[in-house]
Amino acid sequence: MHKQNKKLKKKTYEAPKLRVIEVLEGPEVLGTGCKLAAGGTDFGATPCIANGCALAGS
Amino acid sequence: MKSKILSVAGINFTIHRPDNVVIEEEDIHYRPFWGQGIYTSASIDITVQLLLDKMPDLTGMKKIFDTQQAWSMYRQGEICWLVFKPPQHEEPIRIVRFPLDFSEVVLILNPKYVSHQNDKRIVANPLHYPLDQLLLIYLMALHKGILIHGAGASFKKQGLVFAGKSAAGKSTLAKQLVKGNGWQILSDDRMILRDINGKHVAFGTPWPGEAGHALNQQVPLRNLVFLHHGDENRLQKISSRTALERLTHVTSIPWYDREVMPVVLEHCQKLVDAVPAFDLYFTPDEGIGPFLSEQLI
Repeated sequence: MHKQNKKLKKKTYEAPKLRVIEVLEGPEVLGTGCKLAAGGTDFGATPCIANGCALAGS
Repeated sequence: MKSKILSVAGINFTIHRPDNVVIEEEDIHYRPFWGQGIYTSASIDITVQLLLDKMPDLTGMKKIFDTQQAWSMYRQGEICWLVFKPPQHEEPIRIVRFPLDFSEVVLILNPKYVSHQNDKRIVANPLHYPLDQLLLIYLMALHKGILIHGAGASFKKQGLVFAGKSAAGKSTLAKQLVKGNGWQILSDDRMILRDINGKHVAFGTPWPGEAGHALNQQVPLRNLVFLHHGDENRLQKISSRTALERLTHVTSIPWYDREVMPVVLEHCQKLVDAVPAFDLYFTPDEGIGPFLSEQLI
């Protein structure tokens, strides 16, 4: 067993790499983007103002 | 109290409202979603109590996320609060209180921002996007589902979901597919995917993209396809590991909630383990429909 282990080569150590992913900015998470068809009101105000939508489309 | 049902992806939100409150739906894309859904085997009923009242004081509660735009979220144990306060408003326009098991959802509208007609208070769909999306993120976490930024299409009763962030080409692809025979578009922007008794099912949502597709229908999910712009149409199968990485960028994951986030990630993992995934490089012309039906269906 010990002889077998000696024959195994050690793999080169690679330090873990940190990768930063921006995940909190998309409409999937923030619920941004206007999904309203043209026109319509929300609580008596224009929906874009009422909902604070900042972006059109998806 | 009167009630009205909004049904999305098999979740039936029964909204109980005071007698003097009238709910109106002015968004045409939502109209097919009002009424009892047809997914009886997968239906989940959620009761929503609608009130017009002073906004509750959330002082002392832990804020777990603030979009710095229209809404923020608070949690106190198992109880969550969504506060909608657009920057230009002095007070919140609505606050939703829900426990994580959704046993009792309370939606409080600020009377200051509700119009009235004689003795009636007129309320546009109180669950309108993004509130329904935010609730469904948590509901799907409970019920083996995810919300995905993607178009959904059906061909010969087989479902394909084309995932991609804004400008990936979802609506463009949808516009080309409908030109061909046999394709039906459930959505050109957001889909809900659920594991129902071991089978993955794709649902349309009332949140369309530029092409305006929003069908209240479901289809068995055959493939996940991640969109890329290309000079020619090309499909490349990807590993479940690659698919999971791609999926995390286009799924509505509550990264700000340490308890719920891993549950949603687990659903993503199970999805990519069960459903074959591909990268699609495509050109926006009528050839894409026949290409996809030949290659994937």
